[in-house]
Amino acid sequence: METKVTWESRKRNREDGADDNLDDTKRAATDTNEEKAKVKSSTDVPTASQFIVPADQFLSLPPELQDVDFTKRVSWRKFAPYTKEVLPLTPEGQEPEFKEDSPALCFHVHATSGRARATTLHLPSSRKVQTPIFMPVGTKGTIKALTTEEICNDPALNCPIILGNTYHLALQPGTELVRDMGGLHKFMRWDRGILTDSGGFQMVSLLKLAEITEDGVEFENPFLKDSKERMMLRPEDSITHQNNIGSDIMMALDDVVSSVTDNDERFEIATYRTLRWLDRCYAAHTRPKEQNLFAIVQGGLDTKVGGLREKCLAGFRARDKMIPGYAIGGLAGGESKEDFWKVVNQCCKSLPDDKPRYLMGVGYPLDLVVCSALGVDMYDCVYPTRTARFGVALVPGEAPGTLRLKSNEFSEDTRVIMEGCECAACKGGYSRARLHTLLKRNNPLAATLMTNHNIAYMMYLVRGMRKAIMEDRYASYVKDFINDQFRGSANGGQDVPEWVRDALNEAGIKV
Amino acid sequence: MTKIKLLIHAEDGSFPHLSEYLLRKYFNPKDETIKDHFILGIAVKDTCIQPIYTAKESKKKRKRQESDGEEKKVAPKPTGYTFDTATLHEQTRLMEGYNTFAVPSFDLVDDAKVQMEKDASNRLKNPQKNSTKEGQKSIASVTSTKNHLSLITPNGLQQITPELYTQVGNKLKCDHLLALFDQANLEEGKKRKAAACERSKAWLGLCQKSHQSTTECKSKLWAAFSCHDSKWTLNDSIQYITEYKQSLEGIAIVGLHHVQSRAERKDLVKKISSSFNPKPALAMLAVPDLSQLFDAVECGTEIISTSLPVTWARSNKLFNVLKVKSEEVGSDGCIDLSDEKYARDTSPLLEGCQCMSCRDSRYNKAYVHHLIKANELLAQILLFGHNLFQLLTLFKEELSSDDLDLSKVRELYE
Repeated sequence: METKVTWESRKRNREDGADDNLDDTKRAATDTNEEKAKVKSSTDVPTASQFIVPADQFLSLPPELQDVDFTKRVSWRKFAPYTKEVLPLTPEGQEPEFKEDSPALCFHVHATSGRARATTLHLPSSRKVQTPIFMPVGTKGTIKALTTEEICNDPALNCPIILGNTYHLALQPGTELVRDMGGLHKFMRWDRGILTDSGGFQMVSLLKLAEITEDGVEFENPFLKDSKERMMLRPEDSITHQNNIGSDIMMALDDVVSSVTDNDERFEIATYRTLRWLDRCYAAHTRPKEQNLFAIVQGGLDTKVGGLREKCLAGFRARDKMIPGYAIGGLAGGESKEDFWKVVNQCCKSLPDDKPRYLMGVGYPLDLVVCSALGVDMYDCVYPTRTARFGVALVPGEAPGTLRLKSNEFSEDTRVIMEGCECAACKGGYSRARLHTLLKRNNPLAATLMTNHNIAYMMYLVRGMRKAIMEDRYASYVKDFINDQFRGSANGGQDVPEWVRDALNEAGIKV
Repeated sequence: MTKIKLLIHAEDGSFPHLSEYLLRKYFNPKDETIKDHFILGIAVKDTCIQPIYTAKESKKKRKRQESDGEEKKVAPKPTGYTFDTATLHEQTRLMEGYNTFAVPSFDLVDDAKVQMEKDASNRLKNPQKNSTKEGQKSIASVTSTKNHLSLITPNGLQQITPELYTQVGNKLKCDHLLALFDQANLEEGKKRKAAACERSKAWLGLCQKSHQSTTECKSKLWAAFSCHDSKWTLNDSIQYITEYKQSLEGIAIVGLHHVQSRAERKDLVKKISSSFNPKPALAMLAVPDLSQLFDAVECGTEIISTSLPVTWARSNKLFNVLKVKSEEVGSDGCIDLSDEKYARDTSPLLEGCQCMSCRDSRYNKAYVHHLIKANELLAQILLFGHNLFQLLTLFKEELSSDDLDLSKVRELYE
């Protein structure tokens, strides 16, 4: 009973929130110039007004989608196992060739194993990223508690790409400053790949008072609490910030709606708006030869034929020439795992096989193993690094695959976190008891060691996945992983969750 | 040539801030500078404190478990704490090869002051629990009896006897071991000071005895000289330390920084060193600033313990930038990188410095300023790496130099 009340009240709140947004979107489109002038944009780049539509067209199908046959599944440039055609593979080590329609990314697929793939993203300045890959999150221009030297040169880490958050960098130190310092690579002394998000997600998730209008995301500047001055992040602003940061891969600003929102109309508006905003993002992008701009598939949890995900995908298909890579967005926001895998599955089945796929905000080891089986290449999540600082170590073996080292049960445990792990903590011989003590005392070294271990574990995981794909034995890799985590209730362990079974079944792997 | 050594507190038995990867590269125990000028201070109070588990189960719990039917795995809670240890490396996994110096604590009175501040702030948070009377003057005092000292540890106040201390200290197998000592706050009365002196004397005897009876490889034993005041206990202390002179490596002066006047401090050290023949090796613990550090060198101290590189890093300070822009440098030889004026400063932290943060013009001031503003741990890591490197350079190149002219060095910093 109690859960129902909570759920309903939460739902009501969300509906209220969504309605507020609706009112605002309508208001923004009809507002007088005088009222608009109150909201200051964070950059001076003009809005590409040709892509703005009046409020009464928010729910109309965009013109480029009007001839699409939505009775059929949307997909393009698909190869085996999706179609009978065989995807031309590129051997590892082949030099990249940057083409005119993708001047900053050369994508090589080396091997497939079922739907899973091992690829290389060649980025400008000879940077390359081998997939499947997990990207640790370096929110404010640093992976917390580690030096760039360790992340590059420590063989257990050796991360080829990290993620920076546009929203945080725009607030501190400001992206103009980063630009003047020669870009984020130079500023933080990191000569490998950087991916930045658009900043929209943080505004919606962190700021209660953010409102989305046709123009952009309107929010209260948290650094100016007293003045009540409202700021605007338009697609143009997001791209300008990311151009300033100079990341190798930028993400388009999309209209993010929480995946658990119960308002179909809001989702439909968001989906069409995401397409219009993508056009505005590309129009504002000034460094296409150095930076890639990825599009983000939206559309809520609507995976049915002709549903919102398909509409978004069809919109991207129409724009495919200008898009070097795709991200799957709108997930990792509290939706059920059943809904989650279905969206990932559908996007992977639709998106072209000759471009990379990035699943945003996903980072539990189990999710990586399952979603790679469905065809995802790239992942990012704060979980491994954040949880490390709270004293949770990631380990293979029985679910949940974590050790809460702050717990007293480890105070006399003389084993290292994970036998055979090459990270600074395990290789250095730090026992669980020793880490327990350091964590309990808030010794800063504990954060360094734990972060080092968890990133090393994620890298160990993705390297193992890649190796299995290269050797075309990904199905057995997945089975081993799943059987290790879920040993079955008969053996005193947990059973394989239904969603994992279903998702893997869809990928042709029976567990 | 005297090789002046910097003694840094290894908090919880760990090299502060730096992972083994960075240590191997930048502070490798095999490096000449590290061998000659660097010692890690191992405090028994935070390195050797161990939880005790006794198999005691409350009736309530047992009943609950029985009624649950199945046995639940309950994480045990320690029922108390004790001091015990394995060798330093086994205990802490600290990289091997560093010179090490085991001490009970670097300054017992400082520990008591920190604890008192903590208690006061806790009382502010929970005013109901406030038991001390208003207006009552309280002095940070070290608790001890004839037989034991109460050490302030991360797990609260814990008693240690001189026998246990020496036993634990020997197990650590550090290069040096400071005998257990008592220390009175200068504000305390004559009686307490006399008692502290009496206890230090007795404990040194016990430590020496138990140290001598150890058959395994031994640490070199140091006596602590607690500075209570210049007159009262001075001669007593000198007298009893002289008795054990033969088995001592040297004398560690404790709590000198509590003596307010510089002249008095100088006098005291002079008296100590001149009362022994030949002159003993001197170590100075918990030196709070550069000025007192130079005084220590002047008095012929060989080992100087200070937490400056860590405290500078924690207060966003970058050390030894004198040769660059002298007008910005404070009297502590540091610049404060949290200052807004460094927000766009693209110059390296310190031109020509070869430390982990500066070499190959790695990081600039603007980046570290940003890390400070963003409250990132990396700021402390980079600043500590730099500050330690620079302080060691000062120790090696200037303070240990044959033609050391301290007044010139002082001029630079003061």
